[in-house]
Amino acid sequence: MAIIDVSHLTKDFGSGKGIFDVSMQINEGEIYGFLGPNGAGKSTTIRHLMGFYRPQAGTARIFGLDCLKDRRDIQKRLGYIPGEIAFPNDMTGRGFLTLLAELRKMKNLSYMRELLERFEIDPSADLKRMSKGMKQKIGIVAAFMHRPKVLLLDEPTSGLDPLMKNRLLELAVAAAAEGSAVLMSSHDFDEVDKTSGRIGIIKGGKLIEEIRADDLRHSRFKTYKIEFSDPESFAKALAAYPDAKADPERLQASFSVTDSSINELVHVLAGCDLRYFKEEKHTLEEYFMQFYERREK
Amino acid sequence: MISFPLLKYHIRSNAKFLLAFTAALCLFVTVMCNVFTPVTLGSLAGAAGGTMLGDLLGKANTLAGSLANTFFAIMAIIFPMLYSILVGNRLVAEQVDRGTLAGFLAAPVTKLKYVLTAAVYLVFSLALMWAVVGAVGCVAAHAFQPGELDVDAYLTMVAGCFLYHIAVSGFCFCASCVFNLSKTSLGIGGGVSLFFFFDALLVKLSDDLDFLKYFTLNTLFDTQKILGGSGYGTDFIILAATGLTMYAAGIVVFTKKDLPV
Repeated sequence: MAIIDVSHLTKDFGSGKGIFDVSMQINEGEIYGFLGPNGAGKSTTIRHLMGFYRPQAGTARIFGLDCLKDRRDIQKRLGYIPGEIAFPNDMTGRGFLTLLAELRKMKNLSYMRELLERFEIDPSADLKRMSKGMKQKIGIVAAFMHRPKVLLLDEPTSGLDPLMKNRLLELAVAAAAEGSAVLMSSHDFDEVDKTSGRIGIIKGGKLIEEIRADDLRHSRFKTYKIEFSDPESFAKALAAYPDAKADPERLQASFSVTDSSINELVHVLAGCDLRYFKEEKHTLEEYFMQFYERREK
Repeated sequence: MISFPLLKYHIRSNAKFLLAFTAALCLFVTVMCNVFTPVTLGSLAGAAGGTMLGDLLGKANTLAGSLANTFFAIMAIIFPMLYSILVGNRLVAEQVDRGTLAGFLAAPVTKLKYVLTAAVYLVFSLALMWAVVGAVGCVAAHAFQPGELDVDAYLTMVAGCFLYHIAVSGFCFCASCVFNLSKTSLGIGGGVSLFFFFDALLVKLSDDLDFLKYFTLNTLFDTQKILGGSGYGTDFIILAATGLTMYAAGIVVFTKKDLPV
């Protein structure tokens, strides 16, 4: 049985906002990447799982319990990083974590101390004076310190530097390896790609696709932007790739190819004079558009 | 039913407000016990006679009567009211507005337990405030004018004022539970409370405006009836009942509503 079970969940805030008929199941030991642009409904779904919202239709269940009615029992075994993290202004980091430990009736704080060290946090500072990244790290400790069996991570890497981002992703992977079910929302493809087995894509409040991360990875196009030294080279390359996005005035063109056909591009370019050659970073949406285009063919 | 770690947090978080407002009230009541000697009372009544201030002061010639017309008419109304508006908002609406509530509810704490703990804090902090003011008033009166204060009347006024503030804080707390934005909660909670105060002032100023007494809680805290020694029991019960109803309404709304945190 799935640990997290969302079934036909609907919450209509009016004027097209909200979530509509969202269903997803997340199993023990699984990291589920929850991807979508800002305002797509990721946080709304997670707030239902936290029991903050009353579903209009459908159900949200964790451990088979109702997220709204059985909030208290679920929360004992759940860790949550809110999308917009906010702490009381008048406490230190340690004061807040201790309060949370008391609310959870935790006796053993050794794992909390271990996490504080791992994320290089000085908990004696006032929360009010902490930077965004430092607050985020306190939030991470708050979510993981009781070794929960379910983790709801709403854009958990926001504000973190790359090193700490990786430590968080490692922590999530380790928690899943110990059997936790992890729901991790993001609008960054790469961090979900690194960790998740399955990815749910939500857009306009609807879960439009659920895919295995591997499928997406193998269908990945990379786009190379090239500027040619002379019009002849430009024309030669475009003759081989008529679909390339070209800018004849600057003699620039962008070629999208998969890794498996990279050699063909290199062979064509071998006969051309170039000014520069670089890989263009894709936005999440471009990845998905390419993914869909390819699947439809 | 309530969470002691959370209660401890509210106590610590709001201590400076409770301390400041209680200290201000103690200062006022002490100063007044010092100022309103039989001599000053006579001359004050003469000087203010026929003016608006004279009407507000009334014909007080005892220490308890003077306190009724000054301390219990203005300071004892306004200061704890500001405390209720401010702290009532901090306990619930501000936590929702800022999103800090998510942190507390990410623990095995039900919404009911959270909001009950907040309500208990507000009621008990007001009780503590008035216990201290009651005690300080008795001590100050005894120190400056031994035997002049009608202690029974004074303590009954303290009790009545406490019940009045239970009712006022009930409105503030309810607004805080209903609204998700600090500014709305402060606007409605504070607006209603201040309306009660000014409405009652108008009632005092002119007989033509007597009908306004039905739109305020302040006329239910009638110090003249208390000084007269009878007829205030029903008013006290209505004040307490109003307060408890508003608290209960706020708690019910909060446990049912969606929390955008």
